[in-house]
Amino acid sequence: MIQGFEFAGLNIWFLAKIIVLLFLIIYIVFSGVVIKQIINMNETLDVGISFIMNIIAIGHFCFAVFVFVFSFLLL
Amino acid sequence: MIFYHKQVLCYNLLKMPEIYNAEKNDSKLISNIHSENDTKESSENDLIDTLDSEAQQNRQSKKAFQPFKFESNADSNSRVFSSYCINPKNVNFYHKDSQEKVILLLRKHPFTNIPWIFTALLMFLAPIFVSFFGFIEIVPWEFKFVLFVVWYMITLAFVLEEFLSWFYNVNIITDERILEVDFVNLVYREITDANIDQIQDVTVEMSGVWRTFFNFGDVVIQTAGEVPRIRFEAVPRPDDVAKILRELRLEEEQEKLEGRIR
Repeated sequence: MIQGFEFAGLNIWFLAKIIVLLFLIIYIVFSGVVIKQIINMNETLDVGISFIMNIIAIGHFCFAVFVFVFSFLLL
Repeated sequence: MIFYHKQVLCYNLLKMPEIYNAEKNDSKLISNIHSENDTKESSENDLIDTLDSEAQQNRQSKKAFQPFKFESNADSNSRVFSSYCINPKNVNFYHKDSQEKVILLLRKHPFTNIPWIFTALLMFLAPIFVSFFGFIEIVPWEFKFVLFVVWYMITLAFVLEEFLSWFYNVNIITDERILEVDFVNLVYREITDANIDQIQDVTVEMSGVWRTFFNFGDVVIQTAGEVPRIRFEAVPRPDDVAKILRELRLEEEQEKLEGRIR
């Protein structure tokens, strides 16, 4: 635990960690929605690069999960 | 007998010359009408022949009409990100008929991407300016690092969303209909289509310095369908788009006349 200021009996950096992790959870949900969105878009309009767009969306999701795990361990 | 007839004729001529002449006049009149009718018929025939030859010429010109021949030889892969894609290959969309041919794929002009690219650039450079603020010194390095990564994730999400919005919000013109695909946000999409023969009026709107300079604008299509108006927003070469639509309408009318409707 990083030592710092106290706020309502709680370490402020602990609160900050909770907020950052909550944000990252929301971001993971968002990246999941992006995958679904790209799948829908590719169903609606296929211009021959659906595979690349899917890879980008899945890579984005994996990156979001990685950042969450990394932040959880580091903070 | 012949003599008797001649006598009667002479009698008619002497007694009722006006009647005899009237008959003659009538016969002249009738012959005139016949000749006029013949003239009319011949002129009608000429007109039909002319129309036939014009229709044949139109057909030939339609066969020869290839407004897209200039770009048909271009590599299709290089035109995936084009905002004005003529005769695109490998383009499929929802509810596309097997025989339907995509003639034109339109996106917003690349110039419309400048504002969000500029914003993304500012977001990318923003962490450099944060170091000028004094309060950042009290933040532990772990938080600095994570906040740095989170900030660039937000930037990435912004760029991804804006790019997807540009890339997938398209207008499609096929040989049978026009489509407007609009992804308003992450979970809402709107697809509007109208048959070519439902198009009533096409208006090109091009206003402003940048639009005039870079030759892009709106094409407003008035239709007789359920959606009365379809707007192709900020598309490149709007005059060419309107011209293609006009020619497709003519072709559709010709198909109707010839009974070649699918």
